[in-house]
Amino acid sequence: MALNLNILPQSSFGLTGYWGLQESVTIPFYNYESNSSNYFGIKDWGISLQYGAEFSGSINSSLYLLALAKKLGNHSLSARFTPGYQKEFLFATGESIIINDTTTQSLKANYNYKELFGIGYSYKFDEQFNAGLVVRFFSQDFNREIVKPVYGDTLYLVREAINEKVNMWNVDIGIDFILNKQFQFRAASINLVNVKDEFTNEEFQGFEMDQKRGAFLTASYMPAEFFNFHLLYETSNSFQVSATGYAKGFTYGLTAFHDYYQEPYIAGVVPAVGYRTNLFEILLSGVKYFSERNTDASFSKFYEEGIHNIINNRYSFDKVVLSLALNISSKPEKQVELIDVEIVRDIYPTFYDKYIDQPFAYGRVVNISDKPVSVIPSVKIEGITDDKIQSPPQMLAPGDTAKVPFYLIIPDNYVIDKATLSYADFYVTASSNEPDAQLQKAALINSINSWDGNVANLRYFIMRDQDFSMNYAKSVLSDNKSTLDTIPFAISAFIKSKILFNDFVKRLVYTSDPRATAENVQFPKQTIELKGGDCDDLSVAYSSLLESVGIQTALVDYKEDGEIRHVNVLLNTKLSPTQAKFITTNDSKFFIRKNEQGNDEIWIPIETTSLTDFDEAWNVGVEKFNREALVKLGLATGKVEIIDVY
Amino acid sequence: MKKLLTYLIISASVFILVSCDKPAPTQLVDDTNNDLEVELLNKDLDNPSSSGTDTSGITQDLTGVTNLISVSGIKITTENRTNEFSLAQAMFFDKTKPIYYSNNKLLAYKTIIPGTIKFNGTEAHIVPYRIRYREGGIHKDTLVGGKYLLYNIYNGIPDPFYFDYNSNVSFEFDPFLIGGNISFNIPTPHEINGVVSLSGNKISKNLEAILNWNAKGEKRVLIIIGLMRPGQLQSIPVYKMKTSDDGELTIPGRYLNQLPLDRFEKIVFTFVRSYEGYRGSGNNELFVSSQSIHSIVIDIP
Repeated sequence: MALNLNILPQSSFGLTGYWGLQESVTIPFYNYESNSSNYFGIKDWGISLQYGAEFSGSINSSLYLLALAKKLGNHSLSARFTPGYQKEFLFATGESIIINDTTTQSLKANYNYKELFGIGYSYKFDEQFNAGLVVRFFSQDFNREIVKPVYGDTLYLVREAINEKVNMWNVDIGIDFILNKQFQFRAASINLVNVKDEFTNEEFQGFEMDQKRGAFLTASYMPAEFFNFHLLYETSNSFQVSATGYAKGFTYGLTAFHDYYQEPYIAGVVPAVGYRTNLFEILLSGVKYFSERNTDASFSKFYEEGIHNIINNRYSFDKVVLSLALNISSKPEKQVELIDVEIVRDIYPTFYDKYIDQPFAYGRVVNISDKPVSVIPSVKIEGITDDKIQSPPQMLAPGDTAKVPFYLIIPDNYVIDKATLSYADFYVTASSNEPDAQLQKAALINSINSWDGNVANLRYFIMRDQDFSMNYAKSVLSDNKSTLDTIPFAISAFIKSKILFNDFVKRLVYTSDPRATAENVQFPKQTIELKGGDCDDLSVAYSSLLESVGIQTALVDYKEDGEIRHVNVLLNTKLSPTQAKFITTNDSKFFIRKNEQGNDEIWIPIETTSLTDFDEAWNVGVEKFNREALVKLGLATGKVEIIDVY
Repeated sequence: MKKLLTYLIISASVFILVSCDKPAPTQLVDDTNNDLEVELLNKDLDNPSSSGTDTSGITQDLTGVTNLISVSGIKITTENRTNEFSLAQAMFFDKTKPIYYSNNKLLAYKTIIPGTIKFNGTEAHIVPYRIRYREGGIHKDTLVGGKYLLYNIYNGIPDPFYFDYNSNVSFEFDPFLIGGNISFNIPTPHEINGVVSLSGNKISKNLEAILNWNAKGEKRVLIIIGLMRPGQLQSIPVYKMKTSDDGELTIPGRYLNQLPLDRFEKIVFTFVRSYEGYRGSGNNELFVSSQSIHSIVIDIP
């Protein structure tokens, strides 16, 4: 008997109804039928069980489902065993045998369609996209009696039972798009890939499950946690509409479904009500069909139309299903949430320890637990740090939102030639090693020659090439050993400064920064190798040389010089005011500053862009310093600032 | 709390495992008319019994029949040639004279000749009635009496008895002894015309036969499958199959391929559409049967 039945694997119907991507429940996600993308809201491990009773005149209780799910970062894995997902048909084959001329015996058959187990995998690309697949195993057991002639010496007709088991694997994929908390969508396949055994017995051909492909689309509108609305449409022209919600631990759902292959138009409803805590969920659901269901049915109708779903077809009975789920987590409960992060400073790698004291970003963190928590912010920037850089912990009261700083340590050997846009991963951790929340933001990492225009930060450039500067300065001074050996010790700092500057100016010319890199600063080695630089490059280089041989320097920041800021160097001659006559008789050519011991010392300004000789640079420096800092009261008004290098 | 939860889980698991059933099955009621009732007519194909079956394809177990009146319109198709003939017969059994097998199983009753019989006005001849059977491995042949017979092989020869389909055959009985004449019309069925599509071959044991006939859909038709040895004209009936008169039957291959076909040359498919009824009661009960029979003889491929 060759038939062309449409007995199809499961489509989108689930015994708990359709709940969309509502994360206040997990039980409905074990229904692969409507969760082809294997979406799970669990944190770590999830276990679920569905046990129910079917009302077919008598009550048949069945274990419908046992399932396990595990979350590994962005990966979700699940597996389920579905012993109750089966539908058996018993019927007379139409064949009968007359035994002993009078007794007629009818031959019987039973065909059983089962979904036995399945596995699922999904990957959460980000907060908006999740995609996955489920693989399910179906088994079809065909058993029937036949009349078989047996010929030996004589011919006999015997009744014989024949059977065949035909297995089938089914693969479906799905993708979830969470536009925002209100609107969520899913697209998934139905019977995308079917791999099945070949029939060996022609008696059963035509009764196997079909491979009719399709798809379903879902849309959820979730205006509030206590009321969500979902629509699921199948390409077979079937649909489900449902309302679900969660309030104060209680969950509810009501799904009405139109099945293209069942009558009436709304074939039935699936009401559900449940309760959940962080540890467990319980959900009582039912399937109520609006058409009459009998244990007897027409073979010819089955012959013509088959069934289109194993657990939901015109032969299915009303059910009550009790679902239990445990959400086991080896991870502590999430206690804090990172709402947003604001990057307040660009990253200048040369300022390697600057971000230890000054946060480069602030995050808004909320304590979502019911107890005070200590929050540790940390950050990892691709290309700069291999590990998370932790910032000091902050205490947050329950429900409080706080602004937490993110500090950064840049390795002092870090080199980057040009500015790069990278990603900073911000974490907040409350009570375990695993972050409770994280956010990613784009961050600009400047080149090592980049400068933020703050003269105080030029000291990072001064300090960077200390070894080079020391070698260079010692070499120059060594060449002038005979001079240095004959001078009084008191003026050695002054003479050394003079020797170094005069050597310095012989090699260098003033060149302004390239227009495109106006905030670039050269390291001393670069300035000497490139044989030139602008005011900040020359000041940095000269200051570095002096500092490397123990001569204290400061940078003078002229904040207004027309529209261009200017920098030059102030150096400590180590002379007392009474010793000033050793270097000049003009008391306007020096500036007295107190040292750490409170003693006055003679400092002289050197204009490093005046590349004639030391005396000229001193004169120019003095002239500018006296005019801007003293006459125009620059030091008093803050328009001129002296910044010690160390 | 943890302990309570553990106990709850264990109790629930035990309860579920103990009380688990499987979902209720659905009993499908066969309303397709695709039924097939199979009866084996001859166990020993080397020494076939004619009990209950005659070579024209008429198969009746006569042990339960008081008296029999049977008329048949018969066609036999061999290759592309079809011969038609008509047959009328009557048998009256004496229920006081049973004939038994040696194991006391009833074989038949002796027949009697109680008067004269006419079909469509033509008086039937009285001929010997023999039953052939096999017992204890020995072939036996017994004469159970006489029967009334008319047959028309071609154009009223030897008897001018004509069988009209979907019509009536008049029956008249004039007893030798007491009692009045009995006469009535025997309704005849629609003519049956069969077609057999036989595929496969006996060497590969993949023979399959698809039978088609002009369906009337009212009652069931009878299909008799018989075999013929090389050089013989009589077939050995093997299976009697009853199915609905829907015009098509696929004979499952296993019915044909399990037979020792290498010993046989031809296979005969006989289509029978019949009318059956009873008249009278007690010892005067008549089993009345009229049949349209079409036998198709095919070389076994």
